[in-house]
Amino acid sequence: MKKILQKTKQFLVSVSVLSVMFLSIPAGTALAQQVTMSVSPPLVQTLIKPGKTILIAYTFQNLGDPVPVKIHVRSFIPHNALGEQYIKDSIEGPVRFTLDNTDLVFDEPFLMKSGSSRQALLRIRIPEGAPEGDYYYTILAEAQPPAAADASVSQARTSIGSNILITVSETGRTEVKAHVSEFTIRAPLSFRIGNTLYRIFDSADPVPVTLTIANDGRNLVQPQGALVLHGMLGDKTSFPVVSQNILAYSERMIRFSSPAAGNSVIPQSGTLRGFFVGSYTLSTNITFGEGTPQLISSVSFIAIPFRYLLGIAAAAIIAMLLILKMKKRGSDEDEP
Amino acid sequence: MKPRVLSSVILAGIVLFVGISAVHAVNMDSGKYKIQFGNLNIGGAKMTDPADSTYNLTSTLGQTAAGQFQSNGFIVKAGFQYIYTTIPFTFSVSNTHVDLGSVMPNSPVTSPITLTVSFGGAGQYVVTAGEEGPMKNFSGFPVTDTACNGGIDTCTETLAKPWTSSAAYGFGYSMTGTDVPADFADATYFRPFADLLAAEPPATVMQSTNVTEDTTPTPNPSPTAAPVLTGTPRQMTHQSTLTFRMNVSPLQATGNYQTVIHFVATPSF
Repeated sequence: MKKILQKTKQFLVSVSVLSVMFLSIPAGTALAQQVTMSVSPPLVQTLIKPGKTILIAYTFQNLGDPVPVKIHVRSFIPHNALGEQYIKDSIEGPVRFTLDNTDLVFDEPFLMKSGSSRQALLRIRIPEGAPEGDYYYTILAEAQPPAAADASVSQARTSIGSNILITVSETGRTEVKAHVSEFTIRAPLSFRIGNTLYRIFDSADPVPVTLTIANDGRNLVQPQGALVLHGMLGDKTSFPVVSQNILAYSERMIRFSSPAAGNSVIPQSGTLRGFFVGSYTLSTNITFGEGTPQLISSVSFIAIPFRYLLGIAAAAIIAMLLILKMKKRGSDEDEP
Repeated sequence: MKPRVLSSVILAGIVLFVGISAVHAVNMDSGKYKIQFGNLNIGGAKMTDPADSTYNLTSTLGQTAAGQFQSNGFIVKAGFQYIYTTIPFTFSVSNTHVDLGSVMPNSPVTSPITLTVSFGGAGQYVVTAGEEGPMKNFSGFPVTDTACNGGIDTCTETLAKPWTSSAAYGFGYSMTGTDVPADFADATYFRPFADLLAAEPPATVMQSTNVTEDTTPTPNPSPTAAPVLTGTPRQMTHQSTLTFRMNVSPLQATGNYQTVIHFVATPSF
């Protein structure tokens, strides 16, 4: 019994000593931090009169490690036809932004715990007399990087944003002024005779299409309609376009419902797939809503079943050679 | 028995009326503020004719209300016209503190991080990156931004080129994975970061221009119309790896070098 008590005592002393040692050794600084943030809604678009105020509720969620976050609004401009944007360092234009939350202030960090979400009530005010036109902004939640350590490091500041498209109008009418700036089919073989460009495809090839629409007006527009493929036998196939926003004085490549090739280096609006034979014309049938002008443009291509013809020709040649060989063998055998 | 029937009828009536009013609750008002929900929440819908699905009609309540504009003075729409989703846009950086360790002259060090974007079908998005000044030590002595191998292999903020020479110095990054720029031909291709302090525009490091992948390709052999975008909300995750690389010359001052890379992820407009 005494032996057991002594052993228990020894065990407890060892555990205590080890615990004290383990706790007293400073733990390594765990600086690796994952940032995962989400925002909803991803886009807000408003048509608004001067003098009016609206309130939008944004929900930001932290799905990563705890992180200090700052919220701010910045102006942006469209950058190219692919829907990219430049976010500026400041807010430009007459629109005024405030946060209605009592405990949230622009550009002041607050801690977001793991798994927590935060609603930011963004009040947007259009002052009386604000010029009519479009104003584009991004609300950003910016996760601050951890404090720099005593090492060579690259730290990441991470921002997630949601765009705000504001059209200021006294009457609710907007300017619709647009044109097709590019409507092309990139063919593997093309040549020009006179003023006509001939684009040649193999019948089984996918046909890549690029459609870019330029907005020459001061308000954003949304194309509606379809691309219509006319075959030489009167057959007709329609490909609805995706109603994406084309911002004021910018252009945008418009997608249609036949998806673009996934590994394409050159951006495309979409790809026509199928087995085409003969001459085809692809035309636009696009408007921007009721009573707006129709954008008309067309492009044509010729599809020839080269591979099939080559296969048939090769088979015919092989068959002819075989027949000739058999005939020759027959005539050799007939000879005395 | 009769009073029980009567009370049941009254109760049913109350339930019905309460139900109807709840369905129409769209905006929330108080003396202080009003939260206006966009079409995403109140009425975005896709209708297909029941006969043979020939016609599709998409509707968004916020867009049909010219009268509403006249009376209220505004129309608000949230979300995308062409997709019906409540899945938020999410962006993730696997590590915000990338330790490059001890950097020895002519011995390049690399360290990867993972960028992840997920969204519910309205797939157009852009992720940009830029550095808040070049890598510097505490004395302000910089590591130059890489020019890659130099000569014909000179890279820029928007054009990746091979960086394989251990005698080529600087700090840069390469990209592999989904939605990365096409100029990152393989893992040996690098770019320098755009310097945000020098007013260089941040470079796109991930981008998707496909609005949704939830479409069915036109079937072979005859050319037939692809179906209208279904707009079915679907969680899609795109992931890429960004690898930092630093290589210093023997003349580089010793010390710890640091910089901050600013990543910005936005769903497109």
